[in-house]
Amino acid sequence: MSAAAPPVQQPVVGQSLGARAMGILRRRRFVLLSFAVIGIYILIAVLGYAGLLPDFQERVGESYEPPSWSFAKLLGTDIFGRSVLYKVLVGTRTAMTIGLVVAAISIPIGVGLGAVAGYYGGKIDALVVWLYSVITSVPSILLIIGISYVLGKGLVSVCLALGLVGWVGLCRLIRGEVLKHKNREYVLAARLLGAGDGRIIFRHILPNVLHLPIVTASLMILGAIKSEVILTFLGVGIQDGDSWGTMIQDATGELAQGIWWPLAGVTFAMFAIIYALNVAGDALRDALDPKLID
Amino acid sequence: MDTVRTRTLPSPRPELGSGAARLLPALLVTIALGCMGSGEPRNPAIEDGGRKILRVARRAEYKSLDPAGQFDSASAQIVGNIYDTLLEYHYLQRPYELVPNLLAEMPQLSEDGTTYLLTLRRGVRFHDDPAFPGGVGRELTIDDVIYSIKRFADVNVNVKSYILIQNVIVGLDAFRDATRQHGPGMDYDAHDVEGLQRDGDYRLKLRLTRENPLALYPLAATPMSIVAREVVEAYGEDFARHPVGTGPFTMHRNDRRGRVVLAKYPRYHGRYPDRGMAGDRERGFLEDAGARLPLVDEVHLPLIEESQPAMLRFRKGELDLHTVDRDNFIKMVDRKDGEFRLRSPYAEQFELITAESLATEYIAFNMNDPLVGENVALRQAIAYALDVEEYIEIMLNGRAAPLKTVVPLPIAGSQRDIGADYYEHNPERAKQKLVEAGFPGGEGLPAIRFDYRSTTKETRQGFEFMRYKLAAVGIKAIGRFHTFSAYLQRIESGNFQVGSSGWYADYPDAENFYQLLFGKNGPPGPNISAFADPEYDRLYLQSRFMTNGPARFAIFERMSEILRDRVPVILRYNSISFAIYQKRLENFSANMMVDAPFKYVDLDIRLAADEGVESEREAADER
Repeated sequence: MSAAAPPVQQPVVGQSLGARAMGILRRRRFVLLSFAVIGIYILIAVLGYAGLLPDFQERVGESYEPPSWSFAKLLGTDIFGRSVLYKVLVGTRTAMTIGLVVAAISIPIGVGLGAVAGYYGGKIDALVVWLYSVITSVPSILLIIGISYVLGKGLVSVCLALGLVGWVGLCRLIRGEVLKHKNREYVLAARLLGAGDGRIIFRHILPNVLHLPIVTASLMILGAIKSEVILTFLGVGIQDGDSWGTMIQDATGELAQGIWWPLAGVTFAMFAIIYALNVAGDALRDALDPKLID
Repeated sequence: MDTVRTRTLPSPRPELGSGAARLLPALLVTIALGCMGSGEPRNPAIEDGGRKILRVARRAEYKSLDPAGQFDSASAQIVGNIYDTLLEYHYLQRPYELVPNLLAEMPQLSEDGTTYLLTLRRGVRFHDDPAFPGGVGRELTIDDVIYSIKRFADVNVNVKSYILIQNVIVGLDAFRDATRQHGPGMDYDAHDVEGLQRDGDYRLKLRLTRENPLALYPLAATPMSIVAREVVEAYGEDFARHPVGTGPFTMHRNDRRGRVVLAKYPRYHGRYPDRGMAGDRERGFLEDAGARLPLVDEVHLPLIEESQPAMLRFRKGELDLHTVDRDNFIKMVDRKDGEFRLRSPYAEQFELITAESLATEYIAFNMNDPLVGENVALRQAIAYALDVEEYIEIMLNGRAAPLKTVVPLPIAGSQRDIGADYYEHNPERAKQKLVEAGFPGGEGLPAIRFDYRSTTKETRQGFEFMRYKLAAVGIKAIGRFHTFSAYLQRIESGNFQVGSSGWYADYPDAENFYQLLFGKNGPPGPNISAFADPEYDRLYLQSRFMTNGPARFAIFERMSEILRDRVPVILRYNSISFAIYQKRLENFSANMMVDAPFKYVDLDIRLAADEGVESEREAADER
């Protein structure tokens, strides 16, 4: 038995959380596809704001033409002979705007309040818990309807309403995580070294819980898109005829007459983005959650 | 009566439904989505013992069965069949004509034109009720009439419909003020009303504040039904659920959330009309001429709020009539050369009836708005840009007629009686007018705000249609959609630019529509445009109390010209209402002034066959 050569010490290279996540995500093709879908939707939204989408109000044909092989009529036409495809595209802009703006409003609120409440505890915590308990105790759809009555109807108020209601779940998660982290050794160490509260919260604790807002964001965008459609369907949302909700509302009478394409078009558009966001959300959690590192 | 307004009428109508909903206000509208159930229609009209049972769906809970306390169609449907009014509208005659009901003859006007002599029909008895001595209904007297009118004026009883008769009868407004100061429970006998003079047991002199041929219309409105004092006092608060009148039916079963059953009142005084319009005899509408009413034994009114189940039950033969809304219309009705016919197989099973509604749909400009109010060429440009004909075609499937005057077609003095021409769709003229308005090609013109009185998809689609038409000539539009009450608030406070509006006739006279633009009726009155034109106002006052004829129509013609040239409103359309009914239903004439003509209709027993299953259904209703 010859003595085995001592194993060569490979230098252990620390892998950053982000790099590790990218690695995981990159290996899964379906996830990449989902991100591509989300990217396309965002691109459509950007094109919409750049004024590069075709005018959905233009009449491209007769009333209720079924789908055919011309670009404008790929999804057929609506009651006034407008292209269903163009309406879906413009609706995409609305939906993505709402999704992103709502996430942009509610995530900072949720993270900020959650972190502060979890870290300081005491009266501040009680106040924050009281606030989100009050908000959750009101059925959210009614709360949103109430807010949109106060703010008037339209895109801005739908965004604000959804954003102001949507932070609760995330706030609760962050608060719980921060509570857990604030007595960990690394936090104590930082404190011993004389770090201030702000530094501890934002430099030390938050990076450790950052996967939560990222995952929540993808689900929140999804929720906001669905809520907008429901609100608009109920008549309290967007009313300019360029949202998926109004298209679904229009379809209620049309379906009975055998006109399926407007509903089919908008349903597919919604399905694709919601499915993509779901897949992306799950993948992000798998990739980012430090607890899942083996 | 110039302040009477649609807002007090039954529930706010979305634009599309405004006419349709009133054809049989009570029998209402359907939105059916999926396919309807099929199966052989069976005939539940007859139950054991050969009783004739009319079945009609109630589409909403009634608010109150106290005549003076209600002013919605769900309540009027029942109130109008249990109580009687002094006058009523002739069931068959058109244009609509008042005929005596509880009165023995039409009121007689004095020489000076300000006093009506009302003579009561003798021998009319109230329904039997424990509130009367011995439980037997006593005879109606003129004291009941005086009591009912005073009670109608009592502000503690009637908050909704007094405007029908405001400023009409001498001293009645003062009486109303007295009740306001006194609070509930005022002794009516202690306060005489100068304009209500008793003249024996059966006669009343009604003194008017001025000459006013419109004064008789309110006497036919259900809130002015005649009630008995003993009953009101015996039931107190409960009177709103315990109707006892002189009408064709008595309340047999009163389940507000379930089935209301009305039973024939065998001593009812009324008889079927013995004259009608040309063609009524051929259509069989006069076969029962002179017959004692009502013709059916019972009326069953199940509450079916959702429209699809109601339509399903109609198609199964479990309801005798039903209105047809847009979705069902597309499915069930064919239109050829302006004629509407049921498609097969519906045509073999049911009958279709259409009627022009008594409503005008229009767009009102706020004349105080610095942009649209000041710029007549801009308003004309919008009038030329809109395309009412195509709107009717696409949005309403032809179920309306374009209007050239503010008066709906079935009312005397409409465009059928006077010469009128109006804006027709013309994008070139619209662009020209836009240049005149100072906004060539729409340049420099801010987006115009349109306020709507409902948030339904039909309203929104209507706006989208208009937005497209306006965009085609360079006018941008923003739509704002409100609940009816929010809309009214906005309109009344003058905080709007353009409002989508409509008016349903309070009484079938052109005056009720021309008053919509009378200067003194400005906000919060019905003239929401705040339009004021001295010549128009002068002509309005001149024509107001004239009787219909060439002289009055000539004035209408001039008023219509003023409205056309100054465009305070853009007139749109007069919708057509649709209903279908079972072939067994007879004498069903579309009378837009009768809320629920149950006493006139009959059921053909020969067409009634299968029974049995219905009782299960009714058992289900009970539960």
